[in-house]
Amino acid sequence: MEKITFLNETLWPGNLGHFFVVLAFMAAIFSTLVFFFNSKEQDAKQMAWAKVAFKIQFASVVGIFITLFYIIFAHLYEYHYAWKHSSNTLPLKYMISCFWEGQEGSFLLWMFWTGFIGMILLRKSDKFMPGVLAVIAFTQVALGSMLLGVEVPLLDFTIGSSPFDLLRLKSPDSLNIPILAAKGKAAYLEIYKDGNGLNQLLQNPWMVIHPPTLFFGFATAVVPFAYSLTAIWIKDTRDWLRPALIWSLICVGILGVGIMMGGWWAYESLSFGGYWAWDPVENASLLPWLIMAAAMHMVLIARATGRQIFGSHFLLQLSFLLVLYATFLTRSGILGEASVHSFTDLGLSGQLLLFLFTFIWISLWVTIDNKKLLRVVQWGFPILVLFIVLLSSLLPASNLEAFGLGTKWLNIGLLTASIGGYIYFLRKRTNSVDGDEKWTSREFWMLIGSMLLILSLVQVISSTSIPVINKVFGYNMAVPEAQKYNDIQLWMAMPIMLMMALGQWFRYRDTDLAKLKKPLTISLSISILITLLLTMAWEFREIGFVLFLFFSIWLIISNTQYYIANRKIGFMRSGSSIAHAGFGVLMVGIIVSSVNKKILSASSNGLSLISETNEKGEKDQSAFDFNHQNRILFKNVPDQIGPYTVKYSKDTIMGEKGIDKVFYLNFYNKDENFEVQPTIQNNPKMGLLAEPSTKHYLHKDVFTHVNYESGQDKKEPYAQFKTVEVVEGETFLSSSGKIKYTILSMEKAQGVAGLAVRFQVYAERLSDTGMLYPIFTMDPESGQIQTIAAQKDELGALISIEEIKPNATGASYKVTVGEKEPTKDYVVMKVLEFPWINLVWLGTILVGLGFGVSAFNRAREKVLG
Amino acid sequence: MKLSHIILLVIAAVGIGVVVSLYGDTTSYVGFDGAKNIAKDDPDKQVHVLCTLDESKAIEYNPKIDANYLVFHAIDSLNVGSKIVYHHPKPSEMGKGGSKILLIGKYKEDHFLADDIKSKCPSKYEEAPE
Repeated sequence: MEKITFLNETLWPGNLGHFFVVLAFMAAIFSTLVFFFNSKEQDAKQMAWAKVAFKIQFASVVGIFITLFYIIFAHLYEYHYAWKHSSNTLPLKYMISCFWEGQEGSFLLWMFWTGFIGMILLRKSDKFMPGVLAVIAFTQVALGSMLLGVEVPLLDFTIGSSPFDLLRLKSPDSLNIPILAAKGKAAYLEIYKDGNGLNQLLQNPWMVIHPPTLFFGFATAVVPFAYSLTAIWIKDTRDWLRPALIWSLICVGILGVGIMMGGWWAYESLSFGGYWAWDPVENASLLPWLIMAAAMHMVLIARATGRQIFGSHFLLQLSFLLVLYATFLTRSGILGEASVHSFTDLGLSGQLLLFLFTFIWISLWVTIDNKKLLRVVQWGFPILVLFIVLLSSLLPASNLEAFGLGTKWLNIGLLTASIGGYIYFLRKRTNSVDGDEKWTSREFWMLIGSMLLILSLVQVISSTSIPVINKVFGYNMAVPEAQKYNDIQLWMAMPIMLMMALGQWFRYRDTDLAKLKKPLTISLSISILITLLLTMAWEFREIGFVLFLFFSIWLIISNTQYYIANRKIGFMRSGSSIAHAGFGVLMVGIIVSSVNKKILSASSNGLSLISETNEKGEKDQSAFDFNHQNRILFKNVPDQIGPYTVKYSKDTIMGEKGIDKVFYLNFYNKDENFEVQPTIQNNPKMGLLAEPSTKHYLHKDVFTHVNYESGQDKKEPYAQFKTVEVVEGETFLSSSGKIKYTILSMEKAQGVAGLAVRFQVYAERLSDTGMLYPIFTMDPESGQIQTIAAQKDELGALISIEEIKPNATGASYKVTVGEKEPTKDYVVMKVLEFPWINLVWLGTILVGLGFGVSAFNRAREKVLG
Repeated sequence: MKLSHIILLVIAAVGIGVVVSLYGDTTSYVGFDGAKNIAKDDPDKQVHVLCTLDESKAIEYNPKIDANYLVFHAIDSLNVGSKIVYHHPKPSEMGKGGSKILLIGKYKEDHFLADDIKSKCPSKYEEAPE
């Protein structure tokens, strides 16, 4: 191959970045090993070394961040990452979003947070510290390997995908475009002067904050996992529970808020008209949350009673493993067609699988205390996994399927055996206090509640994992629709809410039931009353919705009442009441905003695809909605949409590239008057991206979304041209005779050089009229003539002035007119009303606040001793 | 037996019930012929059909007549073609060549009535210099 010296490349940031990546990886390996060997007995000197290595590791991660940001900021498009995710016109605040548009960036983010948490834990010097940091540093090794981008010699396999790869190396085709054949490949940067740009949908303030929050939540999940493993490793029974509780509180709080931020973003800028769609990506983030919430309650039980230590270990470990599973699901490309999210498969699926299995192996390895079996698992498990992973990345897809079918029962057997063995040994390791939970004890209700959370998880995980099951066992099942999730989760949530409403009123171990009678009677009667009133106000018909509403209301009332009754303990210790009541508010918001969602744009125009009356001859609203969700609205022709008169008054082209079209829609009636501005972007690379616009009220939102607009119609060209000679004020007809023109006046055109005249032409077609402004220019030196035609599609009229012929009385003009069928601008849009959707956000904030208060309080207790 | 264990067993039983009914109830990916057969047995059952747009036939969408009526033709992986009716505006990415379309809906008489269309344009995230 010829050697080309490429021009104008800035290579030092890439080299620096690579250096940081490798340094972070090596330092993480070093600190993992040293922390591990000190996990049972600490050697001061070695510990100091390990700490330094971990700090170097974290500093390198920060270094990677800064280097990559510099590359994006300085628009160095010789780097693939900058070219793919950024562009010259990208505002500074969205340059941060570039980090998480690409997978490498999101691994980096995760690494940053894990490192950050490690730096906090580094300062503790208790018996858990080395073990916990060994696990955390090992997580950094695994995450760091995703960024390595190092080719394995001989095998056609690359470990990780580096964000510092050069464009010309990562996609060699970039040099093979025709235009470079002439210029020479060396000068390729003269062509690649601008990047691909950030996906419009990610250019949203919420996308700046949502991924870091979510990844912080994911990153915190490793801490309880690490404490659990370390506790088993150093044979601690109870001491580990306190830090595990604090970190699981932080995890549930932050992950929950992070998930809902994603919901808010989806609601504000995606087209599906809602904040939750049971999409696999959303589900994947929900899985660890559900388990972590259950695990946290187990830890509470264990701390108070000494029981459920096994449950605490099991669920905390499972929670982190589910984070890894979720990562595998969303990043390996396995979900493919099942999701509306797009997945870029970086070829990391094998590595992600390895990541997951390695941590499962660590869990097994720490837990098993039978020496012989340990030896079998220690070597057998990795060999088997390596074999499977290698096979799955080397075999072609067709053979893989056959392989999956052939080993189906082996896979099921191995899976069951590992889970069974793991549970058996974990139970053996964790000697809990014996005895039965009394049904009058708080722990009893918490235990049932946690189990119900897991039940809810079972439905979500088994539905979301269908693509995985298809792949492993060779099935061909389709992923269920969102409606199915709603139908099941509606009933799953009710008993959970019951536990949340009741749980706190019980004391640990045993409760005097007589004391509960009065508060429960009060909260029950208030809740029933409120439920009845709201059911009537909101016109709930289905018993499921009414019951759901009742449980959510009771949850709010009961916890508020508990908060008031126990206000002496102070705000700082009321985190659970706040979080529980907040969850109730969230649930009320969910049920009312979805059951009472109104499709305002529904109209009775058009064809009915399915019958709109049910068997009883009544109007079937869901069938009606099915048939007519979208409304056409012509420019300047007001129409009645729901309770509003809506006028599409104007549209403008915006954005640096001139591909954003903003529609100005005025909504008004006798009480309200507002404007919304839904936008569509005709992106040459990504097709049409629509961004909804929502008017927020305290008690409702009006959501508008343009699904189609006249600009997408095929444009008919003008035809039937006719040339005439006329004078000012003379009326003449188009060739079909349908349009009447009159030249009213002419004036010197502003802002055009030379002799330039702007004409005012009046056009009339039936009852429609309009003005056209053609322009005629002549260069005084060369005498070159230029005419700028004017057209008005609403009238189907086009006119251009070809020649000005001066004569004794003034001038006559040679004019060409063309015509076509008049076309009116229009939008096809959906208008939805979400009542009380603000309760969803309020509830989320309260839940987050509750967890924050609890975590802070638990941490403070520790400081106070 | 402990009370909590009994309740846990009940919850576990419900869980197994949910999973079994879930998997029993899932639809498979089918072709148009398969969709027709399923519709004969159970006219309301939803099916998923993975197909590509038939570019030789016109896409009919005239919002001025009905903004919620789209007709196009598609070909499944077994090369069986079908008329598709969709009660929403034309998805913007439709008509760009070679894109795979996932249809969710059921077969009715002579056409497939789609409740939902998920299309993925293969070029969507591919890099192509301007």
